Amino acid sequence: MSGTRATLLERVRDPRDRAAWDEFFALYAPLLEGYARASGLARNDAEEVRDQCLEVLARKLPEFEYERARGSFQAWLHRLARGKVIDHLRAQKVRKRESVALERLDAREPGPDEQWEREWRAEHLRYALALVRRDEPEERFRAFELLLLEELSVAEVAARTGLQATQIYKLKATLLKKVRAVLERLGTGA
Amino acid sequence: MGAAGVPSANTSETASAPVPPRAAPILERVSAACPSDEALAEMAAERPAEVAAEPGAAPAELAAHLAGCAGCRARLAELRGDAALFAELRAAVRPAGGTPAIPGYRLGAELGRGGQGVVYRAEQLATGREVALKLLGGRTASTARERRRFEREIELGARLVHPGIVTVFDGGVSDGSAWCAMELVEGETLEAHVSRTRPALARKLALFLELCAAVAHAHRAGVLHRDLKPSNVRVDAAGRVRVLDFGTALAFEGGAARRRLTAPGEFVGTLAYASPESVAEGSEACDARADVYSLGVVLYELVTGALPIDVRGSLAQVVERVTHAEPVPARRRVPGLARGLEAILARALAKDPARRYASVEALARDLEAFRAHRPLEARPPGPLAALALALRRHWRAAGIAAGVLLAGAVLAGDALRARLAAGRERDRAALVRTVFEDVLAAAAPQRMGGDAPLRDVLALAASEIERELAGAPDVQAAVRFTIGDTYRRLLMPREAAEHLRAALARHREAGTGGLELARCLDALGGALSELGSPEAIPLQEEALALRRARLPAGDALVAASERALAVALLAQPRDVDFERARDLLRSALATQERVHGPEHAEVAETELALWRVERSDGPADETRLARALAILERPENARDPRRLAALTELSLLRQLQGRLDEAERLLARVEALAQELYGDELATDLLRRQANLRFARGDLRGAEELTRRALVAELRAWGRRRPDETAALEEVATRLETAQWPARLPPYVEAFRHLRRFEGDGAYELAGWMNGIVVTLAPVGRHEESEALLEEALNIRCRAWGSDCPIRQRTLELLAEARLAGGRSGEARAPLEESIAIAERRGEPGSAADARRLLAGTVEAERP
Repeated sequence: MSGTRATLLERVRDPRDRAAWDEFFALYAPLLEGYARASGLARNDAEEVRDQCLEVLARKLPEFEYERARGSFQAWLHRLARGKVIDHLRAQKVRKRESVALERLDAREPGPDEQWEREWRAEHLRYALALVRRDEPEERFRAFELLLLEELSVAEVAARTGLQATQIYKLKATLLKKVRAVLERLGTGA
Repeated sequence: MGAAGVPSANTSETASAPVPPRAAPILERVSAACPSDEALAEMAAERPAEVAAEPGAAPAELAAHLAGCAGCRARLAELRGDAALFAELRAAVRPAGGTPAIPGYRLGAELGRGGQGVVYRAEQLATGREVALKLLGGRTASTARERRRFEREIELGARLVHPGIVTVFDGGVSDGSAWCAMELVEGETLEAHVSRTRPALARKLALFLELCAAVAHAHRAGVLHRDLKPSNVRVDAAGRVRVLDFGTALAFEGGAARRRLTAPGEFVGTLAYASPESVAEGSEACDARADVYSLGVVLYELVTGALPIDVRGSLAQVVERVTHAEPVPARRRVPGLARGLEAILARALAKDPARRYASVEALARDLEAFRAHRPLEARPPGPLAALALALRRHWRAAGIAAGVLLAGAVLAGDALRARLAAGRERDRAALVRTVFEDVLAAAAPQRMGGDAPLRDVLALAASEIERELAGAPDVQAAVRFTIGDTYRRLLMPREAAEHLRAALARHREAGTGGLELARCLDALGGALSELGSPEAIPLQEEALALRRARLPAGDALVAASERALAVALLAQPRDVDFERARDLLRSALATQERVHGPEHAEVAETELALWRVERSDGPADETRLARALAILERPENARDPRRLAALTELSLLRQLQGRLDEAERLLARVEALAQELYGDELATDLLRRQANLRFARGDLRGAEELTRRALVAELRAWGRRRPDETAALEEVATRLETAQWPARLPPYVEAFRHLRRFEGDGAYELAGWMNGIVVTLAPVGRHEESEALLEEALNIRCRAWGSDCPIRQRTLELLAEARLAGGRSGEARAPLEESIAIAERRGEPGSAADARRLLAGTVEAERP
């Protein structure tokens, strides 16, 4: 392991690596919450599901047997999250309201779940972008953001920000490369 | 990641090693022909038009170049990868797939979802301020008519400016989707706030009234909400109520019922808050009273924690219930809920709008009236209720304790008043009972069965009146005092103490002072003295100080306090300040002889107390006791409860003197008198004292019988005090009552365990119970347990009774027997020797001989 940087997933097997754990949580908390919300839970319940899953992660990860294939961890986390979501939906149903969401979720087999896959990928991307943003000078990132969110053309962005078109192209390529590097480092988002 | 590594134009990514000088010119020539990164990038992104301006960049030429240039092909592939990633990033980071762009706003993170649509954090580009932007879901405002209607609603909503209403800034329709931008309120929903902070009723009502104020404001401006429910109500960081979504409820698609059907998962939940007319006929049929209904449901939920209508089952069933079924009465969910509040809820939740409050203002007005104990629109008071209300408002003039009795007298007529004047103890209690019963019966006809014991009536009265009088501590103090005092007269100091404590707490809360406070302190101190609690002393000190400050030196009340303090001092199990007690009593006696005359019961009581003080110095002559008894045996004192106390005292004395027959005769008189004065509700104390007497005489069977009765009664009394344990205690009591030996033993042990828990270790009364248990353990051979209990009982008894009483002697003998039976004859000698010593000191050769024989037995047992 010395010499090559281990992926985040590998690093969290050491409970003493606080930095790794902080990052891990920062990545997966929104993912879990987003998934719970998308499954039909209200914000408080989604937060609870998130916290419950994180707790399990904290306990189990150090001994987690995983192969390098990311599908293994992703699938495991999916099963965990899904189970908690179902528990909550069921409890809601008992409390007072009917829940169509529960029927929807229950009916589906625990197989490939588009919702989950989408959320998984999306969350990793969001996280990676946030990291890149943090390390990048603001004007440069803003240019990138304008391209990304406002869908402006390079020429338009150049006009708004005062950067050269050439610079913008390079900027875009660089930042994308950085995003890729983060994803690799996480080890689970590719 | 460092800044280094940004590739410069036109170098291949793969050329990381320094290039040998000879190759450079060649590479330059070759790469000059390659299209720029930009061109390739645009091509990768499939926007060839963008680069058409560049030389050599026309699509056909590019394609040709690529065919021959591996470097550029590689770059293109990479750039295509970039483009794909870029697209993915964009999708991930944007609020939601397919969200329309709203001109003038940049959408941020999603804040929440509701039945109507999704709310996002957004930035208003013109001003830079953060707002909440709600996208009303679905293509539902597609016709011009709908759009106009929506815009009109937004306009109306935007005109509402009120601290309780979330302001709407802007709204419109983009791409068929309706949206509105409003003030961003950080805070939690009302539901979350309440479950987190668990506020008291008063605070809940305050929050609700804020909500009413906001809705009422909107109504005055001509805007109905039509979708009031807890999720539309926020509580911000400052604790203020904010209402959301005015005017947007009816943005499109007409009837609320129809709209809701499009989101079935949400539907049933919101139905609970929808007024019957809106469910049956649609929102067009609604006016302000529909909002009143919704508010009623919110209030109901706040107060009871549940919905008035059952929302389980199919849609059709729930609709049926909302439109026709009566809501579950609030008092059924919260027993003891104030009637006024229940009436308000019933009125707000009436099915027929004509029978509801006509406006939100009317609802708020009635709630305010409820808080202020004024008559309600919802519940015009009957005569008793009006009287009660008047008493509450004007109690100072009436003096509430008298007021309650007065109310009773008013209700019960002259006959009772006459009996009250006659002063018979039992009748006074009966009158109190009648008053409370009447007050309660008016309130809860089914709850008071005819024969409920007085304790239960009093307990019920306490809780009922407490609730009705919440917010008026001075009035509560007076009522609690009355109840506590009644218990005292019934020889139930523990219950008395409970209520008197509450009375004292309320007095402190209300800032009462002076003689009234002194009276309460005195009563509580008295009850605590009877329980042997050291807490009595500071209370009596305070009472005495208050009275001395306000009354002349020779006043009877001052004397009463002096005596009460002395009694409290004497009631301590140890470290008794006899000197002080003596001084106080002497002072009290002097006053009382002067004020009441030398033959008065007050004098007798003080003499009794002085006698106890003197006895502590050693065997005392009985002069004082005799004098006290002489006074109390006079015919005019026939019904004075102090006669009871004096006789008991004498019986105890005889017991201590070993004159057990006399002691028993006296106790029998006490019992008869108590029966006459107090009816069947004898204190367990009396039973226990009798049991002890039997035990001292060696009548173990008799002692056990009485102990059992006392224990059963005590368990049941505790059961009444602790509603959560009533069933368990009752079970033990019943088993104890009905089981035969040896099955009786386990419930004894269990009963004892409970008592120990309730009384606390080392409490004086515990010793008495221990005795009873020991008595039962010995015959069945449970010697070790016997022994442990006996030792403890001995310790407690030593502190309280002094070392030479027959009970102690007997206990020592039992201890010795237990040890002998357990095979530890060596250890049996010490208690036996002590027992012999006691017997000799008391001049009882008979018992001494018995003990010696036992001692000889141990010596025998020790011989090999």
